[in-house]
Amino acid sequence: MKNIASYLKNILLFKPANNKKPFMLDESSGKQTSNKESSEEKSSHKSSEEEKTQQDDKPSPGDKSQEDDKSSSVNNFSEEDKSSSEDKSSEEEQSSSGDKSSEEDKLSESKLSKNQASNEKTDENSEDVEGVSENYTGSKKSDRKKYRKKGIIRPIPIKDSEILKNKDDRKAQKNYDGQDTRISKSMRTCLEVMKQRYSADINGDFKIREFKVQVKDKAYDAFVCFFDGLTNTSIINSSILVPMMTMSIMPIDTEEQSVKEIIYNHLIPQNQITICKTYQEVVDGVNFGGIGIFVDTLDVAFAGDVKGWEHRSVEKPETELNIRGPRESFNETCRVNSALLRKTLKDENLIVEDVLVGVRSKTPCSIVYIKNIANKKLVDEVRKRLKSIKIAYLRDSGELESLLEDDTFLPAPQMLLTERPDRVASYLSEGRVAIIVHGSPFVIVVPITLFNLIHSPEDDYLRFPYSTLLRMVRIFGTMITLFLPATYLAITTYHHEMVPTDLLLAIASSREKVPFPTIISLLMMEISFELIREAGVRIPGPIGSTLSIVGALILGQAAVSANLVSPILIIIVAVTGLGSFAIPDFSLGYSLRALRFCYIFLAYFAGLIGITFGIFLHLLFLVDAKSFGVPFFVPFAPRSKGRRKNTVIRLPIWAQEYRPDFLNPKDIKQQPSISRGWVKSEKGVKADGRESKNR
Amino acid sequence: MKRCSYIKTILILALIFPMLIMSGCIDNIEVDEMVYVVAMGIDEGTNENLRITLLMAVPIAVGVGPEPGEVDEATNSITVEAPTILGGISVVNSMISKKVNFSHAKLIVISRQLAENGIERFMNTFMRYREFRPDTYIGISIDSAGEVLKSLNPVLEINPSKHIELLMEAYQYTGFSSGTTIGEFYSRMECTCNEAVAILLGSSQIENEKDIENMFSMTSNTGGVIMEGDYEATDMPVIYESKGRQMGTAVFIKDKMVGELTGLETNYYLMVSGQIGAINYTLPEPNKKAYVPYSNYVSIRLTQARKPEINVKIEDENPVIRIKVSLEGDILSITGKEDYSMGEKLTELENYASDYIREEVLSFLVKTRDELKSDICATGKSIKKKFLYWDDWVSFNWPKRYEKADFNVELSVKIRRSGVMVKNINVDGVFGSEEK
Repeated sequence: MKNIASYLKNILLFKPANNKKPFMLDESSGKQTSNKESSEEKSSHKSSEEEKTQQDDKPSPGDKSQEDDKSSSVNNFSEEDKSSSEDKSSEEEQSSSGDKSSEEDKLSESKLSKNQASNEKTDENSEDVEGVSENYTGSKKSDRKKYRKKGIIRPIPIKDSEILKNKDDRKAQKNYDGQDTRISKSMRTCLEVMKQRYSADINGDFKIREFKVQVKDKAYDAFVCFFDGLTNTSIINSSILVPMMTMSIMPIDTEEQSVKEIIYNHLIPQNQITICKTYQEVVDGVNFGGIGIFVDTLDVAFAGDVKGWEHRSVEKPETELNIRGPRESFNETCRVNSALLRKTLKDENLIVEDVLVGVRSKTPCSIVYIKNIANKKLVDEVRKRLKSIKIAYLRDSGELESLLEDDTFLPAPQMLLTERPDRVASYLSEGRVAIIVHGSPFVIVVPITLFNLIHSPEDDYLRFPYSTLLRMVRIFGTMITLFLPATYLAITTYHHEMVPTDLLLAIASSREKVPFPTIISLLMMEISFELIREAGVRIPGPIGSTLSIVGALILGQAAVSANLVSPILIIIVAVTGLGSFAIPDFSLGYSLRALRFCYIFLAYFAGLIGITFGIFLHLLFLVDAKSFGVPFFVPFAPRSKGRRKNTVIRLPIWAQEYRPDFLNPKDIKQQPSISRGWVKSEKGVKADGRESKNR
Repeated sequence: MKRCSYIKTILILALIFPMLIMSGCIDNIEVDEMVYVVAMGIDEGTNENLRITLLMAVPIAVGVGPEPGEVDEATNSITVEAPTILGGISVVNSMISKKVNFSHAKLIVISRQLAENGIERFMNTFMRYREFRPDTYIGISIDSAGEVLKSLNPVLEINPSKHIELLMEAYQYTGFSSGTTIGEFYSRMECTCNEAVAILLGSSQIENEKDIENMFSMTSNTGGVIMEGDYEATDMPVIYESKGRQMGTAVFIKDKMVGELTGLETNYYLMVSGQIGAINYTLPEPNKKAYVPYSNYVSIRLTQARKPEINVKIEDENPVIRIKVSLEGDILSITGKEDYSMGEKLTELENYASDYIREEVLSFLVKTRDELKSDICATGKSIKKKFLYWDDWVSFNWPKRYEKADFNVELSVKIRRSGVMVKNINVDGVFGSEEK
C-alpha cells in the first residue's frame, strides 16, 4: 500500500507528466463528445434543412431489407415510415455504439471527477494523497496494477466499436463494404448513401454537385459526385454538366423514350458511360477517377469515366537503358501501358483482359497476350493465379510478383519485370503473357527462363555479331560477380600454386602490412561496396552521383593507405562491382549479389571444392525451378525441340523462324524459312517485293 | 509434403556444412604467412649430411606492396645441414617466421658430387611431396650448388623467380641447355629406353678480361677459334655482374651422372631429340681459303622443319640407328664477301650447312655412345615398340646395345629466307673489277 502511495505521489508530483494521463482521457472524451455534438448539430441542421428525410436512409449493416422496401416507395415518403425508421435508427444507435460509449463516458467522467478531486487535494494537502489513491484504486483496480507495473502513459483508447474484434464483425464489415444494394429511386436517398459511403463531411476532396435536369418538361433533381483531383473537371463541365443542365431544355423528339434512355442517349455526351444498378458499381467507378450521376426517380445511376489525375508522361526508361531501339517506357497508368503495347504490336488479336486485384484497393490489372499465339493453358494459369489473390491493397507489380511466383525462396527471379514496351511486345509475340499493374511502371512477363534474364532489349536491335559479343561480355560479367571474390579467396588461402609466381609475390607483398585475414578484408570491402551502392540509390539526386563515385574512390584509396586491405583486393571488389552492373536484369543482379556472399563463405571453408559444391547446389535449385510451368533451364535442361537460336548466342533475326518450343504457342512458326525474299535470286523478286513466278 | 521436403533440405545442409567447415579450414593459410622458395640447392655436407641451401623470395622487395624498394635484396638465402631434405626444411621452419613453401620453386640444383652418386633419393622426395611441382627445373652444378644459387642474383629485374624462370627457358632460343624439369627427369630416369639429362650450372670466377685470357691460355687445346657455346657452365668467357652460369647438359645413366655436354653439343642433342626452338647457329664460311682460316662466318637461324625421324634396325646383333633431321633456317649474317643469298650459292650454302652440321651431330652421337654410354636422344624408343613382351625387351638390354650402335645420320638444312637483304653489294665489288 505504501508503495502504491509513494508511486502515486511521484506521479502526482511530476505534474506535467502525471497530469497528462487523466487529461488525455479527459481530452479524448471531450473530443469525442464534441465531435458527437458537432455531428449532431450538423445532422440537426441538415435535418431541418432537408426536412428530416435523411435520417431514415442512414444505411447500417442490418437494414438492407428496409432500404429495399424504401427504394420501392421512395417518392411517397410517409410519416409512418419516418417515424418507424427513426425509431429503428435510434434503437440501433443505442444498441451499436450507445452501450459501450455510454459506459466509457461514465468511466471517463468518474475518472475525471476523481482526478480533479485528487488534483485539488494535492494542491491543498499532499498527505491526503493516500486517501485519494485509495479511492482511485478502488474504482479501477486493474488499471492501477498496470500503472504500478509499467508506469507508462496509456494512449488514447480507440473506440471499441471501431475495432473489428471477431469474425462476425469482419463479416458484417465485409458485407457492408461489398454490398450490392440496388440504387434507390429517391435521389435524396442516393445522395445520403453516397455521402455516407464517402464520409462526405470529412472527405475534403469528395465533391457533390446538385442540379436539375429537365426531361419531358419536367425538372428532376439530380446530382453528380466525383473526386476532385482524380477527375478532369473540364470534361465534367463540358460533357456532363453543360449538356444535362442546358441541353435538356432543347426540344428533342423523345416521346416514346423513358427518362433513363433520354438521359443516356441524349444528355450525357461522354464516351464512357455505364449504367449502374448498385451503389458498389458507382463507388468503384468514382474511386478510380469516375463520376457518379444520380437522377431522381431513376433506379439506376450513370458512371462516367472522366479520369484526369496527374501522372507521369511517357518517359525514357530509367533502369533498362539502351543505345539502339525505342526509348519509351511504361508509366504508372494501366491504360497508357496497354496503349503503348498496342501501339507497338498493332494487332487486333492482342487481348488486354482486365482483372481487379485487391479486396479493398481493387487495383486494375491487365493480362495481356496475343490471342492466336499464346497457349490457352498458360493464359488460364495466369488468370487463375491472378484472380485467386486476396490481399487488401495491391500497389505495385513487385508485390504481385511475389504473390504469383512459383517459389518464394528460389535464388533467382521467376518472372521478368521490365519497363520497356518494346521488350514486352517481343515477348508477347513469342507467345508469352504480360501482366500490367495499375500504379507500377514495370510490367510482368511470364514465363521466363534463365536465359531471358541475361538478355538485353538491345540484343535484338544490334547486328548479330555485336549482340553475341555483348551477350558473352554479359555472361562473363555475371560469372565474375558470382565467382571472382570467392575464387580469389580460395586461391589465396588454399591453392597458392595456382597463381603465377609474380602475382603471388605481388599479393603477398601487398598483404604484408594488412592486419586482417583475406576473408575479413574481402567482406569489409564487399560490404562497403554494397553500402556505397545502397547509399547511392538513397542519396538525393544532385549529390548522389558525385558522392557515390568519390566515396568509392576515396574509400578504396584510404583503405589501402591505412593498410586495411590490399590494393589487389580493391581491384577484385571493383571488378566484381562492375560485373554486377553488367547484369541486365535487376532482380537477377540482386540474387547474384546475395549469393556472392554464400560463395565467399564456401570458398573460405573449403576453397575451390567449396565453390564447386556451391555451384552444384545452386544449379540443383535452378534446374528444379519453374516459371509458370516452364523449367528454368529450358531449352538445355530439359532439352526442347529445335535449334537454340536465342539463348546464349543470338542467331541473326532471319534465322529465328520458330517461336520457343517450350512455350507451346498456338502458332510455332513466326516466319518462313526464307524470310528475306531477295536472297532467293536477283530475278526472283519483283521490284515491289513480291515473288515473281517465272523464275 | 512440402514441409517434409524443407526439413529434408535443412537436414542435408546441416550435415554437409559441418563437413565443409571441419574438413576445410585446416589447410587455410594466408599468402603472407608463407615464404616462397625460389630455388633449392643440395650439396654434400659433413658426415653424409645434406647441405641444403634455400633461396627465398622477399615479396616486399618485389614491390607492389607498400613502399616498394624498401628492401634491397629480393632474395634471402639460408643454409641448413640435415640428413634429409624435409628434415632440413623443418629445421628452417623452426627458425624463420614464415612457413617454407615449395609450390613456387623454380629450380632445384644438385651438386655434381651428389649427382655422380645417384639422385634417386631426392627425386623420390620431389615426386612424392605435393609442394614440389613437376615443372620445376632441375640442374646440376659443376661446383657447389649453394654457391650457384647465391650467384644467381637477378640484375635485369627485381623478381628472383622471374629471373630464374626466364633464364631456364632461354634454351628455346639459345639451344645451349636442355630445360629439363623434375617431372621430365623422373620419367626419363625411370624409362628403359632412354636416359636422363639435366641443366648444367656453375658459378663463374671470371671478373675481368685478364681472367678470360688466362682461361683461354689454360684450355688452349687446338689453338683455333672456340665456337660459341663450345664450353661448359664454369668456363664461359663472360664478364657479368651475376655470376651464375648455365651452359651445357649433365648426362645421366639412370640416376647417376656420367658426364657433360658442352653448349654446342647440347644444340645437337636438341636437334636430334626434336626439342630445338629457334637458335642462331654460326657456320664457318663454305669456301674457306687457306690463308684466312675460319675468319668468315655465316650465321643462320635454325629451326626444326619436321620432327626428327629415328629408326633402329638390328644388323648382326648390333643396332643401326638411322636418324633423319630436317632443319630450316634464315640467313642472318654473312661476314665474308661471298653472297649466299641467291641461286647456286644458296644451294651451295645449304649443302655445306647440311654436311657441316651432320658431321657435328655425328660426332656428338659418337660421344654419347663411346664416352658417355648413355642414350639421351631416346633412340631406343623406336625399337622398343617392336618387342611384343616386356621380358624380351628387358633381356634385350638396350643400354648395352647402344654402346655398339652404328649411326646413319641424314641431315638437311633448307634456307628459306635470306634475311631482310635480298643480295650483298660488296664494298670493293664495283671497283675491284677495274683493278683487274
